[in-house]
Formats: sequence, structure tokens, C-alpha cells
Amino acid sequence: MSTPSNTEEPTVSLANETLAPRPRRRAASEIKLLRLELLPRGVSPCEMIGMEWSAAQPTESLSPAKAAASLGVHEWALPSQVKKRYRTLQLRYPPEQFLERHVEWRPSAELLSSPRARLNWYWQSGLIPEFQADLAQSQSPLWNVDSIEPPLTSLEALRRLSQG
Amino acid sequence: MNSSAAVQTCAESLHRVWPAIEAALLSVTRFPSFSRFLSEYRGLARAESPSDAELVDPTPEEQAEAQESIGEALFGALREAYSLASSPETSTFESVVNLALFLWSGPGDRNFQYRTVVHFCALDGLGDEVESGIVLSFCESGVRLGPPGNEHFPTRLPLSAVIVDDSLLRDDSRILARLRSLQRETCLLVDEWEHENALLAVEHTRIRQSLAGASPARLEQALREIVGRMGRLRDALSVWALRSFTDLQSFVSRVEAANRNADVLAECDAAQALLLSGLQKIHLPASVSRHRYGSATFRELLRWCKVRLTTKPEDAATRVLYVALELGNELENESEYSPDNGLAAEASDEDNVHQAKKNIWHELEVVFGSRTHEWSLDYDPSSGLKACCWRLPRQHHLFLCAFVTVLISRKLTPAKPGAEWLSILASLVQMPETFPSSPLSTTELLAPRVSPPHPAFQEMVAREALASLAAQPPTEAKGGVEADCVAYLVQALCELVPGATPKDFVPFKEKIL
Repeated sequence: MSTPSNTEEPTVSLANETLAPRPRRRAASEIKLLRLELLPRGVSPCEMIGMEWSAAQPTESLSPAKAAASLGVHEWALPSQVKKRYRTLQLRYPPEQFLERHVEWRPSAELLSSPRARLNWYWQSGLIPEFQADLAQSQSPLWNVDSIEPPLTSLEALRRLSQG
Repeated sequence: MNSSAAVQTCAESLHRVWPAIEAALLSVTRFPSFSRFLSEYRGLARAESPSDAELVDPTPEEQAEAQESIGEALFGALREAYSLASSPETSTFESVVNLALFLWSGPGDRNFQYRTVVHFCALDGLGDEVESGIVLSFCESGVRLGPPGNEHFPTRLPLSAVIVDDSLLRDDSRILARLRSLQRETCLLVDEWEHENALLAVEHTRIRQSLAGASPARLEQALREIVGRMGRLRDALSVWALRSFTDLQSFVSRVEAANRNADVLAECDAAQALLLSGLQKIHLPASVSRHRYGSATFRELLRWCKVRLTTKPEDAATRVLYVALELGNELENESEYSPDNGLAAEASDEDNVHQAKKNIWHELEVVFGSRTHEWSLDYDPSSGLKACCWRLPRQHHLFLCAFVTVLISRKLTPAKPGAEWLSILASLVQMPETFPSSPLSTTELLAPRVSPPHPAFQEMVAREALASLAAQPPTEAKGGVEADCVAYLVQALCELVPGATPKDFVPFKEKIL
């Protein structure tokens, strides 16, 4: 039996910790509160919220990161890029081989090619989106390494305000 | 123009001293107990049991030291910024500071906020003069500026002030990035709203428990005070959040109008769904905690409805909310009149007033007359009505309930509204009674002054609603919830049809008898 008496946790000051983002997860009770207002899937006539913003947890264990890895695109790729990539994959295989891959590619493409579905995944999992891109402007004119805005900080906000 | 120049001056001076403020906030990490405090932090000013307190809270000596050094440093920096801006208007300076403090969080952990520092150092309520007659004091949601002894909720610039930028409209690449950061900041805002409401609820429970043994009169008095304070905080928060949502929504609408790129439009769509969901989030506390929002919130809601309807004229849920808000406003304005003035005004331009009132109902007549595919229900229309139902007289409220019933059953056709929808509708009809000390009696007195919908229109809507309810199969599943809801709804809505009784509509009469 291990005695926990002398295992005192070292108090680490925050300044020494790594700056890896540690997003806040909502408490379980807060998720419950959130569910109250959202409508059950399938019985709602509400076109906008009822479909994607449903009370259901993210259905499969599919996350945007996994979907992106399976398709071979970037997590924050644009809908048009995702669709193009899916089309390429579809054309690369003869139909009978494509079928088995289709099972994992299709939901991935659906998740990533609808910004609302992807945002909903983040909303429901309580994680804060971390935007990334790996293409240069010549390869992807709309979403590229230069166009990304870093998270809004106080200093940046004050700078924007002071420039009017 | 003038106010934006004032904001600019304040922001410039704050930008210059911000490194000092940030250093002061971060210096709290040099206290060894802070990392423990942070990891156990649940937004509580103090822990619940004494043993927890020993583990989590800072020792009194530490707290005193922190209070002195950090409070001094923060205050010094803010006073410097204040003097750099050369005695700005207090409310402008305050709102800029508070937005900056709202956006601040420690490196790598969003629970490490300005509020955490205020709780750790017990800075709440401390402050000093920045100028003769003007006191700057700290509280958990920001800083207050004003004459000594004022306790107002700290004002904050809406979040949209730093996100909306019309110069980006023509730049597809940058507008896409901006839309995505708008989405992230909106998520964070809603998260913050939940967090602050949770803090209020926790404090409410704590005070309730601490007064458990007190005399009933004292307990009631104390509870009324707390609930009043929570109500004021909620009002201030909701006005701030709604103002941000409205400005962001109109920004997204402008982007949508100016842009033809499918990728950008998809991001716009996601952003609008998110804003809508955030708005629902803010309606909801009103119906759960039975808090009656003040008129400032309703003004902001009305503004939001107008912006939303200019972008999405087919959104029937917002249209119903818009009508309910306009009716409530009309009643409130009427009630400000003294009886003599009111009558005189009515006599002089009766036609104009009548015209204006007719237009309100016309909004619904148009939706009622159009086909199902011509309008949409983008969200549950009952949530908005629940937040403002207590301002309406019973007849108007019932009519809006009947209208919502019609909308929902038309959208569901050929299916029938299930138990979920029936219970939503029944609770909507009941809602005004759940608000404490509901001023329904005064609105009832004033009701004749606000014109009801045209009798023929009212009867048509009510009959369609009743017919759709009567088509429910009388199922006893789930303990007869459906049948109970239908019976209740039919009984209530029958008031709208002259000469009708529930028996004419319900095939399962024994429920009512």
C-alpha cells in the first residue's frame, strides 16, 4: 500500500509552466443547462438550430482533427478545399475499392466542409478553436499562414481601438 | 464621431501603460498558494468548508501582502493612464478599461482572469481617488469610476468595438480570418456569460445557506436584496452581450451582402447560427430564474430583431418576438401617460395611432397568409416570448401562443406536434403566472388602450391552433403528458374564440371534466 502522506505536490508557479493552451471545459451541470434550450434532433421544425445545434453529443468519436488526418487536409481547410480533396480521393480509386474507404471519408468530409458543423463540434465539446494553416498565400489565397488572426488579446484590442 | 475620438484617446493612453498593468496582474503568481488556488478555482470568493479553505485560500498574511502590492501597482498604472488621457469622460475611460480587462487572461489558462486576481487579493471594493471627486474602485467584473460611494455595474464597451471593421469588407482573405475570430470570440463571450451566471448562482446559494437559521422576515428581506442584486447584474450583462451580438450580426450581414465567395458565405452562415444560439442563451435565464429584464434589455432585443429581420425577412420566430416586443413597448409608453393626457392624445390623432397598431398585427397577418416554404423557424419561437410575456395582457399573450402553435403545426405537417412541443407550448401559456409579482393587473387595466388583433384574424388563428391540437391522438403514453398538455392548451385557447367550449374541440372530454 502506498501512503500518500509524504507525497506533497510541488507548487509550480505559472510563470515556469509551458505556454501550451489549456482550454476550459464546461462543467457537466453547465452542459446540462445548455441542453435545455436546444431541441431534440428529429422532432424539431426549426431549420437552423434544430439540425446541427442539437442536444446530441458529437455523434461518433470523430473530431475535426481526426477527420482532417483521415482526409489528408488541414483541420481548418476551407469547404472548397475539402470538397476538392474528397473528389480527388473519389476519383483515385475504382468504385469497389472506394466503398470501404468511403465509410470514414464521407463523415470526415461532411464535418469539415460545413463550417457550422465544425463550429458546433467545438461548441459542444467546450473547446476553444485554435486556428491554424500551413499553406502559403500562393497555394491558398483565402486561408493561409499570413491571413490568420491570433487570439484577441487586450493589447491587440487597445491597439485596434486607438487606431479608430 | 466625438465619442469615438474619446475612446481613441483613452485606448492610446491605456495601450501605453498596459505592460505595467499586465505585469501587476501576473505578479500574483509569485505567491506559492496561487497555483493551488487557481487549480481549485470555481469562481467562489471563499471555499465552502474550513478544511477546504486551509487548502485552497491564501493565508491572511499573503492576502494582505498581495492586496497591498498588487492593488497599489494596478491602481498606480490606471491612474497614470487616466492622467495621460487628460481627464477623460469617466464612463468612456471605464468602458475601455473594462473591455481590456475582460479580454485579459493569464498565459495558458483561461481560468486565470482579472476576476481571479481580484478574488485572490480580496480587492473587491477597494479604491482611491484618481482626481478630486472621482474614485476608481475595483470589483470582480472590472473597475468603477465615479463619485465616492457609487456601486453601479462597471460599464464595458461591446465586444464588437474591436471586431467590426468595415475596411476589411473588400479583402476576402482577411475577412475570412476575421469571421473566424468573430466566431471564437463569440464562443468565449457565451462561455463567459455562463460562467458569470454560475458565479451569481453560487453566491446566491451561499448567502441562502448562511442565513438558514435566521428569522423568516429577515431571511425574506435578505433574499429579496440578493435577488434584486442578481437581477441588476443580469440586466447589465445582458445589455452588454446583446449590444455585442447586434453589432456583430449587422457586421456579418454586411459581409454577406458584399461578398459572393462560397467559402466566405459558409463562414457567415456559421457565424449567424452561433449568434442566434448565443441569443437563446441569454433569453433562457429569464424563463428559468423568472427574472424580469429591464427596459434597456428590451430596447436592445428590439434592435436585434430589426437587424435580424433586415437580413433574414423570412425568419418567423424573430417576427413573433418583434411583435411581442413592440406590443410591450406600446403598453409601457401608454402607462407613462397620466389619464388626462392619454385621453387627449388618443382623441387628437386616433387615426395615426390606430394605423400604427394595425401595422404591428399586419406583420403576423403576412406570415399567416403565406405558404410554409416562404417563412422559416430558425429557432424555438417560444423562448423569446417567454422572456417578455409578463409585459403583455393575457389576451395578447394567448393570441401569440395560438399563433406559435399554428406555426409549429404547419411546419410539422403532416406529422403532429409530439410531447416535447406540446409541453413547450403548455409552459408558454403558463409562463406569465410564474413571474413573481407579475404586474399583469396593471397591464390588464391598460389592455383596452392597445388594440387587439382584428377579431376575424384572431378567431381564424385560434381555430386553426385548436384544430391542430384536436387532431392529436389521445395517447396515454408517458403518463398521459400529451393528453394533459392538449387539454390545458385547448382550455386556454378557447378563450380566444367567442362562444366556444373545450368540448367542441377535444375528442377525449373526460380529461377536462
